[in-house]
Amino acid sequence: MSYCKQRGWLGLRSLVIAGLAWIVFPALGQDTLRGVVFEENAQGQLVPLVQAHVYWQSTSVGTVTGPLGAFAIPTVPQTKRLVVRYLGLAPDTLFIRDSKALRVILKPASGLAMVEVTEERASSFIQRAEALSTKILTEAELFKAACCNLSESFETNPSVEVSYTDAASGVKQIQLLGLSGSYVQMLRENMPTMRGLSTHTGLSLIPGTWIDEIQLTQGPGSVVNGFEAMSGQVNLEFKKPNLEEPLVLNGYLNQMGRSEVNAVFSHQINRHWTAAWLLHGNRMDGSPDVNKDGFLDLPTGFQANGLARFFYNNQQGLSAQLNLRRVRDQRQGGQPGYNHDLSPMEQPGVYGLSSRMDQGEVFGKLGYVFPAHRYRSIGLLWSVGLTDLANRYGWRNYSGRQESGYVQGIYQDILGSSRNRYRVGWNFMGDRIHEQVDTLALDWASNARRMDHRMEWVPGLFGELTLDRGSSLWVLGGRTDYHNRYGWQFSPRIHWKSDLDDKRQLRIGAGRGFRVASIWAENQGAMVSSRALRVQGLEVGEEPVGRSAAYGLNREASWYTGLHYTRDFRFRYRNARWGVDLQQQWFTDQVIADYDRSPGALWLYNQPGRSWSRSVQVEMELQPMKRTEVRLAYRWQDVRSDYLWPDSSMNTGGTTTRLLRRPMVPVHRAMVNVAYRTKKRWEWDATVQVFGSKRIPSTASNPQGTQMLEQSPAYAVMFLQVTKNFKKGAFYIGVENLGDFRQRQLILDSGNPFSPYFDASLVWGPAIERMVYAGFRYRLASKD
Amino acid sequence: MKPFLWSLLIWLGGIAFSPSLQAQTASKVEYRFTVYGNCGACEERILVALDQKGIVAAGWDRTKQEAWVVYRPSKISEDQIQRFVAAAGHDTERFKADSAVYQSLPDCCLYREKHSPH
Repeated sequence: MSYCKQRGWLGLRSLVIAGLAWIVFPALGQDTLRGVVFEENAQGQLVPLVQAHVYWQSTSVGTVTGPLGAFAIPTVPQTKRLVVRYLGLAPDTLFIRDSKALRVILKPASGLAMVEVTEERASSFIQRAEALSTKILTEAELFKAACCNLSESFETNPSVEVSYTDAASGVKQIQLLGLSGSYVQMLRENMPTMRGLSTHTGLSLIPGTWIDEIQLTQGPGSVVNGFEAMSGQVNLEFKKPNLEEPLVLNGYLNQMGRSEVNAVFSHQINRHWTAAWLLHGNRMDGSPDVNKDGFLDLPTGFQANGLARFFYNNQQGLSAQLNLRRVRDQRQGGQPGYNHDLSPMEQPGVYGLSSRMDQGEVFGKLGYVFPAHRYRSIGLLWSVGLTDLANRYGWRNYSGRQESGYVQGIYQDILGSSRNRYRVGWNFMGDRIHEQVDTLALDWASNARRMDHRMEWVPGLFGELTLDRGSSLWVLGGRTDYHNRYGWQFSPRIHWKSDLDDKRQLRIGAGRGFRVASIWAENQGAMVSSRALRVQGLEVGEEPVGRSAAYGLNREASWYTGLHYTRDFRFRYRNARWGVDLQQQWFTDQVIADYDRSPGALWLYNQPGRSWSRSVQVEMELQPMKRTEVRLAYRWQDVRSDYLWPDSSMNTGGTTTRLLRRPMVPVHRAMVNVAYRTKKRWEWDATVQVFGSKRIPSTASNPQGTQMLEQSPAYAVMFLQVTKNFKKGAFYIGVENLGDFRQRQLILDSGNPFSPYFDASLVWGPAIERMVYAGFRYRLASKD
Repeated sequence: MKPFLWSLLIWLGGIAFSPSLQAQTASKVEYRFTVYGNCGACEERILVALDQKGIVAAGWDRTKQEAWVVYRPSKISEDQIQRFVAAAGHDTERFKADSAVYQSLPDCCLYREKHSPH
């Protein structure tokens, strides 16, 4: 009876979903463990095993694989051991840490059984079976740099750079390919996030301890995730309801006065619903001024952050999730004498800096896997969000508000066999953004205000075909979007992977991406200076589609090509790997942030000529001794753009262009990471990052004493961390910037913050002294 | 700054490559011997047991029921190596595990009752 009822309800629901839309499946169904069982035949091809038995050890919960070898089994609280059996082949027991997709490969009767379990893996690795060059950073890798939010999580990754945006606000940003992090599309469980106003600060609003896994793709990723991936794509997988670990706690304290508490609670609501509560709070008190420049090294303040997650799974193919997130981040810095309760006009001559960011969002997923067709699924992803910020930089106020909505539908299936898979769907992105930049003056009449309002509507369609040809894999994708201000945009993307042999892999990727720059949010670093903000709009007749463009500027678009080669080898009896990445990105349109034209201004204008980024990266991973991993990487990068320059040869006031290296980007960069584990579960992690000389925007026209170097010196930064692991958690203590190398002249004319030469935006090196931190992690495990 | 940087690189280089220098003076021997077990959990336990001074690298092949080690004869003997494995609960070709230890193994590892090497 109840069975029939359920079926009827299901049928109706699936119809409703079909009418609405569709999703990528692997991200869903967290209550259910999914996987595919294969047999490797004599030709080395993987053939799905039908009717293989899959069950939880010592329980009656079990299933058999479907016609394509796929299975879905509800997770049980009693055990984590999953048994896979097939007549004539070896049964195996897998230890499942969490509900990820499994791929089980059983070799033919010659007896060799091999099981690939996605859990048993290095802390950071490349997915061998994927066509995209994607690095997975697991929680173990994130533990290597225990502080604090996401931007720091990349400290041990050679492809990504982390740096402060200015000398006073304490905001860190990442760079990929020597380009600002804004060209990296950030995804939150496969949905675009950190866009528009939160491009600059978004990373600091995600606590590192909430993260289960980071997937870092070089180059434009899959078309399914949208059009904005230009240099790369970072997908963040948050912790999910995990009944094995009902409570995870983390505390952190550092020498600068920062304290932090994180907690993740998981519980089961009823048979179909589970929930997780992710909480974070941090405080920064009593920040010192170690470098004696009259400015607090880091602002004081707090952040309160919470994410509630509700997961539904009816164990019959339907799954859904609902997430609610709310964060407030408030910082106050600048000169210690500044009173943040008064307006800057009441205390002229004292420089104060403050920021407030509020963000709330609700996002969800809905998906259905057809019981008779394990590869066929539909899904719907949606999110709505609100960001509100109010920042003050001396006599400059910047405030903004963004309302965003996103919906995506995906249908995925196979063509003929599981070797040909496709995903098609649509999405719709809408944003309403208001921004206001005020430059105050002592006499109110000279106050200057600039307001920018924009509404963006972007509907799009996409399709992606994955062709598995055994030793090679193709992913062909294309999407077309209509942007209400910039018209039709087409983004083709292609990825190819070839296994040259069982040790060597080659990947090639190419494609286009585009985005709309949020110039104020992305250049907030420049606001901590006396630079005038100047936007040069389009010439008459150059308007892209006749509608008013954002800030009067063009959208940004680029083409990427990348070649990635990896080779596995044996070194001292253990597995090792080296690889080379060749990447280049050509911009057809870019908003240039020009700090060079005048030290008294930041010019923002459409790319007047060429702009590119090229890089070569060599990386090696070795295990020279037992329990020791060494990662070495070197990167050469060439990032240049044409900048406008007044043409002095013709006294007409015209401009010419000149090609300059992108400032603050080193040509050479190297990294060494050594991880050593003792038998008694002590872990030592040391990372050294070496940065070559960087070009600093010219300050030659400033008076003596307010000029900065033309080129920064090369420098190295070292991180060290010791962790003692226990059965239920860990204690760690670490040092950042062990060599205590700092940029000595951090702020130009720091004694006169309202002089025309004051500039805290020229940060090329570490701004913070050697810093010691300590913390703990505790996991409450449920009874096995 | 420069000297600091260089000393750092040399130090790290030392970490990465010093074992290979030692390797030239101490000779290493590859050795294979039978070890019984069933599953992935067994493999993990056997590898932990083989993580001993004098053993450079180790592995276990379930289908062949065979452990593989690279060891330094100057520091450890074949008997000692096999004893470490037996002490963890896995019978080897020369030593039988203590039955109390064996009984404490998880179900899937009870190879004496349900031996499934394939």
